[in-house]
Amino acid sequence: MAAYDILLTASAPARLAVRVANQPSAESTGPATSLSASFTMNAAEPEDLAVFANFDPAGGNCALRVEVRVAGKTISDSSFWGTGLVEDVVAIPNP
Amino acid sequence: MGGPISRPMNRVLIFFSFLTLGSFVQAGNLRVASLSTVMADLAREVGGDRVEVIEIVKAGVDPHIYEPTPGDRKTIAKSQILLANGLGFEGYLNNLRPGLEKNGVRLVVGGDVVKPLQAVCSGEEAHDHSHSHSHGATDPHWWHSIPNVQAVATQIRDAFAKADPEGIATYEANAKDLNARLAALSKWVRLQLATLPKANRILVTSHEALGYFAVDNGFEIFTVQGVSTTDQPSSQNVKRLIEEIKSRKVKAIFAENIENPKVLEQITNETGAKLGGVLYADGLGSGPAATYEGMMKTNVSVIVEALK
Ligand SMILES: [Zn+2]
Repeated sequence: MAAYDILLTASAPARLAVRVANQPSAESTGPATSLSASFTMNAAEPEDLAVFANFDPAGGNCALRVEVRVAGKTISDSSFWGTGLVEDVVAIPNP
Repeated sequence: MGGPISRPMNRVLIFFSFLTLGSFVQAGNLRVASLSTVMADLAREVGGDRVEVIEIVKAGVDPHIYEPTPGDRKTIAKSQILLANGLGFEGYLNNLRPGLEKNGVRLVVGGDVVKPLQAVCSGEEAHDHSHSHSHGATDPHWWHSIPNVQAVATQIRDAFAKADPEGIATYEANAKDLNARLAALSKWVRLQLATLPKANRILVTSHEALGYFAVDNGFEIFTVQGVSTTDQPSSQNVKRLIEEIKSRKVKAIFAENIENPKVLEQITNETGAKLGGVLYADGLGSGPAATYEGMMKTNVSVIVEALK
């Protein structure tokens, strides 16, 4: 098992959430530009992350960056663009 | 000089108007016959009003055992294009080819533009070879991978554009819209499956139809039969499957819309796994599963609900 630290960074205030199968999801209490969460998962087969950023649709194109770290080392760094609700899945690489 | 048109001239104009109208109707109705329910749906999406799609193999019919009737052959002969899944799915396809050439029917085979997947036999190590599919056979159920479906949508667009050049703008716009919706469907599928722990991603089905889905989405697959519904399940294979389900603590197994789930029911009784629901394995169904998008959403929802 390993602790996976997740950092969501949004280009504008948005309702942020990250979900992992069979674990309580982490959600911002209101519009925010960042959200940190930590999930303990099987290091041999980590679960995928479902990430969400609900931006103001009038705000045009916005970005959500998702960084995944284990023991301080970045193992995944991806960005998603869109208008309004930006949602996607981040697959964490196996070690 | 403008003047009243004489009666004979009037008749000539009416005659030419009919000719013009006749050619317009013909151009607006590209006749497309389909041996694939999935490709029929894609053809309707890409062709819109310009294309008349005639389904030879309809939803709910087992396409593995289907044989075209003389009436089907006549319908195909009157079409400009015939759509087929290929990769051996339509065992009778080679018999149709001479008739297609004779009648100038263009054959569009989806399997020609997809990345083929080799069929995997469940319980490969202790195999008794009592069922009928050959090892190394290609899995013909390519539509369970959305990128394959996008490639085939593009293939259909190009075939329609070649047969009806006046409709190119329509076909391009419709195919672009369809491919965007398929990309959105792909994301929807990934978001749904993210709720399913990886350890639970085991699909047990009647026949080996969901191999492409399994590869795309990180599932292991176990089946009672091989890639065809005509493959006979051996008692040894069923026994091995039961052991596998017990040792892996598989929560649910799935029936298919066309199959008789009798063997699967026997397996549920012996393993305690529940019957997770019915999957559309060999093409489209009815109701919500009558379109490709609806079929995929129905399958994914059933899988997630049963295995999470
Ligand atoms: Zn099949």
